[in-house]
Amino acid sequence: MEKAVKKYSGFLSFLRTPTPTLIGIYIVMMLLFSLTSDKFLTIQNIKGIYNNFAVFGILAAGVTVVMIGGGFDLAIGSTAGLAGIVSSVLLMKGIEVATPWVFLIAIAIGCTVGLINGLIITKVGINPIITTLGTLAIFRGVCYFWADLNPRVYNVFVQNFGRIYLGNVFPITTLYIIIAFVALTLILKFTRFGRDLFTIGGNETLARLAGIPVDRIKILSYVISGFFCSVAGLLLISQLGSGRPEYGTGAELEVLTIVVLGGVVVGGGRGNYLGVFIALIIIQTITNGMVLLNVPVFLRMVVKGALLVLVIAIDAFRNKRHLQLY
Amino acid sequence: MSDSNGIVLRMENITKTFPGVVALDNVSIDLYKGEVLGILGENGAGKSTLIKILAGNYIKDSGDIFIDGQKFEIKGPAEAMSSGIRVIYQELNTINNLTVAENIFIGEQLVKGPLKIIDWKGMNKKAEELLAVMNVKLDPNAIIGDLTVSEKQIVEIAKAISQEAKILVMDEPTAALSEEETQSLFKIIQALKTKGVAIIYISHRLKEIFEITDRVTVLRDGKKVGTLKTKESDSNKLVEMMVGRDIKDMYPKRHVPIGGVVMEVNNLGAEGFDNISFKLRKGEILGIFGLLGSGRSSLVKALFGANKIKNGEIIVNGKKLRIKSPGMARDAKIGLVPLDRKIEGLALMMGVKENITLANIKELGKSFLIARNQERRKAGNWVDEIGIRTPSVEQEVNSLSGGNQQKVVLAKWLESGSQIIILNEPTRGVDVGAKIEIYKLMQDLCEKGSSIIMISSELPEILSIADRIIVMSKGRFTEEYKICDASEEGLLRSACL
Repeated sequence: MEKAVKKYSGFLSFLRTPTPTLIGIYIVMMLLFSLTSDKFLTIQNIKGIYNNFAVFGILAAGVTVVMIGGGFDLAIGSTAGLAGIVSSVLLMKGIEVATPWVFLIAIAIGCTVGLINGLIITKVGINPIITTLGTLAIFRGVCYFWADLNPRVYNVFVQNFGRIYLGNVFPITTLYIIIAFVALTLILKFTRFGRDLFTIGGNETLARLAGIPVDRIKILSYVISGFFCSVAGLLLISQLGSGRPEYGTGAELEVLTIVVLGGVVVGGGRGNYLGVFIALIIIQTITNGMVLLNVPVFLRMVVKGALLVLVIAIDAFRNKRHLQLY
Repeated sequence: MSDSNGIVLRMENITKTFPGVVALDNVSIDLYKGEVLGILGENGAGKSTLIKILAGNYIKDSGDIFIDGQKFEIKGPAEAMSSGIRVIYQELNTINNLTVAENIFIGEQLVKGPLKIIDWKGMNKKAEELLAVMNVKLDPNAIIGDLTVSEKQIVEIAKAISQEAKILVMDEPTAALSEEETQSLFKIIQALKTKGVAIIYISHRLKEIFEITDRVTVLRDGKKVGTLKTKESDSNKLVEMMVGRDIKDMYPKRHVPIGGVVMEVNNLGAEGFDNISFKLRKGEILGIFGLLGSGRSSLVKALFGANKIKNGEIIVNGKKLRIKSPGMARDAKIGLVPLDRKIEGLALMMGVKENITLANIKELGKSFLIARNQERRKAGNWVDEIGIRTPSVEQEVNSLSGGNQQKVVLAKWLESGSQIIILNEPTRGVDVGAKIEIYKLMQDLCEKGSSIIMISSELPEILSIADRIIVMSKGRFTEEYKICDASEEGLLRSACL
């Protein structure tokens, strides 16, 4: 009875996540795309892939924190959109607020939205899906307040913020993502906040009974998500050159797909940024490959949806024995 | 009971394993038409697993099941039900805002007409008939939420026999019942027996086993020890079969000197109980006994700040405290080993180390960073000190046995420096060997100056381990016993007052 089943632990525990399945699919797809399209394996194309996933990657960084704590954030697309359009209005000719202030205001907007989400979820006690579904609509609505302005971004620093390539090959946005993912990995692993977050996601009842300040930690997780929404918003206006009220629409679906494929458990308690990063690259590579192969839009969506269900199904199947205990 | 009546159910060489545990090891039982077969065993002996396999909630690893001589693969609850197997679980599965009749016919509503409209009149009438068979007067239109625990149980039985039940399984049906209610349940069982229903009756109350069963099968640590005719056995023999050792070795109790009062509770009231007063002394194990619904778990949660206190006061070490949250209880050096460790006591996906330090993580390192070496060392010390058997402190608690999991929960509070430790059913779902270790551990703690409040519904356990016992019933205090004056009968009587 004492002989415990120990399969994978430590670094190898990632074998228990959907990541290995995903890597398998990735290899197959890479082979397929590079054999069928001569544009696929060019530096130009790969640069593009990496720069294109900047917004999703930054949003995934925050959502992962929320989801490890057992929460959910559907408002990320709207929040990014709001931070983006407000920033672009502030940067408009005639207003031209100083760049550092624009960044600060954008970050304040994201963090405030996160704070509002967190307070409603913990203090009022509304389910996070419902809460953020509500704030998704509210803040998208607010974005349309500036719908007629069509603010273009002339600020050079903001233009470069999401567009320059280091040494002409390495997109700076990928560096942001790597910094964010590494920093968050360290925070989750080495700080009390991180540990408490995993405890809450693993078993919230227990966390409360152990005297962990559950509400405070959860609110903080939504604020962190809000912060990354602001950054994503700034990246959006930088890369697209203007502020539009619809920017970021639907990003929540794409990002949740990436995060779940990356092995973050819905319900919380488990997840790591290595998996999320791999999922991010794979989803974007596959999207790109299908574009190069002229796969019609409808089929691209079908493939992505099917991939999500397939990978999670394989994961569930592999862990079936593990789950049966409960 | 004679062979001529024929075997309704035969389970042959059933084996079931969970990660790290063999829950059932080659267990076989026979069940005859119109008999009551008792299944007796300690917690963790495999009784529930056997029943869950029969009910289709678990799939067996190997072995065969025969119903009326026909080999039968139970693949899910629906198949078990369609072959006439009905299970009444210890936890009630009634739906509180539906009526008695609606609950009885859940999923099997009577319908009429071509549109299959629900036949309310017919359902109420049939419900009344079913209740009449059991000699019970209950309004079919009553809302379940308004009924007492025992009335809810009667509804469960009515639900089970509303369709032709061939095999009826009752899992600890008297856990929440008073003596009188138990007697009326036995009358119902007798009535069902004469109708030819075969009944499996699970209990660890020996008195009931002698009163109602025809034969009894004893399980221990997932193995079948034997089957006896009830008439030909006696309680000593059954206990010996159950625990596999002498009863004195089962509950080791040593003398620990008892000091001054460390905790005083005066007229405490909250949801589920009112007006409870007691004193807890240094080095003492105070037992709290009560049936299901007596308010004992609510009391514990209130003491720990998880339920809002309405009135009364708690004095710890001479200081009056207002405990509003578990965090405040922790800071007052109170620890809680909860009733359901998987839900309230452990983060199953996390390691032994993380589980031990999680309530006291702010003491690990001065900054917001966790001092990981210190953490590993501290967790390692507890693993050694209280004998948690685990390959390493990194091991997921999920894969530990029940007894070791319980020790991890305890270590968490020891790490937080708890001096008053509340244990709610500390040996539930723990095998016999680990039980003895937990009893010893509790007394070690008392020797080092801690005090313990132990809630237990296992009579032999509370009678052997506690120094003093208070009894609760329906949210009230009913009696206090010095251990020398306490007896099974006395406690049960006070629990039903």
